[in-house]
Amino acid sequence: MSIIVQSASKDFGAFKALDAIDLTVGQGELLALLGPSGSGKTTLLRVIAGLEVPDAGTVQIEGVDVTDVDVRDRGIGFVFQHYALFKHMTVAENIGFAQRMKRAPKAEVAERVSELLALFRLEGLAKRYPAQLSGGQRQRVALARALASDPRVLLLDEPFGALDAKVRLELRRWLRRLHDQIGVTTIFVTHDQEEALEVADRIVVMNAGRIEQAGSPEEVFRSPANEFVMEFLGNVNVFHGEVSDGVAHVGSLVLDAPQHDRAGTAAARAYFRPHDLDVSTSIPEGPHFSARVEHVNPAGPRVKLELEDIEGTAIFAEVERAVFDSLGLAPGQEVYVSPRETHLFVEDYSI
Amino acid sequence: MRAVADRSRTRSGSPLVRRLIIGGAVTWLLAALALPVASVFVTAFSAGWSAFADALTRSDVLHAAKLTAIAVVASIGFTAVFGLAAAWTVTRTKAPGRKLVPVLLDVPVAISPVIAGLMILLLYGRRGWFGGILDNAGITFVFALPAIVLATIFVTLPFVAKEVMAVLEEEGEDGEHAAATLGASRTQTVLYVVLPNLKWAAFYGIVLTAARAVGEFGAVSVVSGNLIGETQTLPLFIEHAYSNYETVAAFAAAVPLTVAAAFTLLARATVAALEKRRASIALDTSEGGGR
Repeated sequence: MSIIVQSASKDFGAFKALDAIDLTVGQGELLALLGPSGSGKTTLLRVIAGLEVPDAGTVQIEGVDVTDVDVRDRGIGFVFQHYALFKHMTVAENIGFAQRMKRAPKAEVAERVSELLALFRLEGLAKRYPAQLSGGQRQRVALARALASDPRVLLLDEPFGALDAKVRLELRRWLRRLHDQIGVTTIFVTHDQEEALEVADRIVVMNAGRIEQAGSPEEVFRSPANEFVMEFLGNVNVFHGEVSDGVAHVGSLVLDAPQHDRAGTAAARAYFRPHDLDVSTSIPEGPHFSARVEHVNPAGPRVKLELEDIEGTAIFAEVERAVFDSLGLAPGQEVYVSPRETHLFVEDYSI
Repeated sequence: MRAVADRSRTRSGSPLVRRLIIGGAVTWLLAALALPVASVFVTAFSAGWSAFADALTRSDVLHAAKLTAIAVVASIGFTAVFGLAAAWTVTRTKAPGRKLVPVLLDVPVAISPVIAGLMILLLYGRRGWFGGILDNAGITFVFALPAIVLATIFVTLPFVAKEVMAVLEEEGEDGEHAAATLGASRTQTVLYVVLPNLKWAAFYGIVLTAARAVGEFGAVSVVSGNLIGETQTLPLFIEHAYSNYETVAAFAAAVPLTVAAAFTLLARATVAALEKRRASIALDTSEGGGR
């Protein structure tokens, strides 16, 4: 294991940033810490880096307890959210900084710098200053600088947060390829679920200083452990209701819930993702409810529908363009909605 | 022609009003700023070049210039070191009471220099709080160079601290943290990351300090005793000469002070222009990263 965090806690005054966090990161893994702001993800990253001292708990890197080791001796590379490039140094000087501080021979520094300039496609920019670079270029300089002294662990704080949508998309694919190429254990912090789902090997979803769920992107997306994870990873429709004897009554739907077959009644909430709802104009088989089309947004790869059920609850659905065209949907129309996939969360039985 | 006139009208009312406003502003600037400065030079040279040269080489003028120079150098040295330390303490440490420092730094600006001088007399004068101790130790403090230097330091104290504090505040700690993650020691971080970042702010603070120290009158006049050829600085000499009807000598001594002020403005403009050029280079980049 490359990184092991054990029961790390950190308070900022009355605010609990980390609440007894346990985290293990495998050698060469690309891990995303995903969560809303204030969830503690950046604090956890900074605790691993040594930029923040935990109030309790330990951090190990490659089998060595580094809890009391200074940040400069932890062998980590860190990319700051706003890059923190040295403004008065050129790109080449920034990238060579770590080695110059170690007083490496000039020729060695120059060789390493030109190697990294090539790897990060920054040739020709060596003599520029950070102010003369675009956001994407700065971000690559920051990465190159962090990797210059071959860190054991690479830590990135919201690496794409400050970039345009298009550049962000390109850079995250590029980060994935880079990671596959150099294989250094990497943790990045993000609040963007799409980014985490696309880039990471494993996702750790955080909330209020605790880990809600850790797993592969597919696990986290397909089988969310709780309502927080469900809601955080994409848009949802929520139906309130109850479950009793293996049957759930939510909204105007009756769903089989064999895993909740205990006697007695409990409050339950059913979640549906917009793309897991089938919309049709004829009565479908299986559980369904009727609704009226309120609004249609045909821009984008899939058509977004805003519906309203008989109780007046707004429901969001997404359908394939071909489906949309064949149904000929328009506002005011009555349709039938059936969920393909349901995530049912049941509150503790109170008997 | 008509198009131009139309455009100017839509921009800011009728051409006549615009001319009146611009004309008024220019006249006021000339009357309030340019004319007084010009009059310094005109009066200084009114009795000819040699009278000007004679006035500047008088022993009391040279002595006054020397005192002023000492006060300037001492206050630059002190406020620079103090300013960096105070700014660092306020922005980078958790020292108790650090939040009071910016407020205290406003005291020298808010308080009248004459009051500042009086406070020094009350503390260090012969019958002041520390007067006895100084007297017993055989140190002449007030009505001598130490008090002049102390008064000058007092009025210039905030300049470097405030400029540097603003930069440290704005930049945040990321640069220092980045240096640490890259293996730099604390000394290396200060030498290669922190100080290079602060050099323009510190320079600007020093320019302001020098400008204020050269011209300081109120505080110094209270504590110096104004002894001709002994504890008289240049501004004190000018006032003294002028009230004794030595007009040419007074204005001749004012020339170096005016030139010093011009240098201050020039230095300030240069720094501003350098920073603007940096910013415009930054705007000049359009390449889109990624690929």
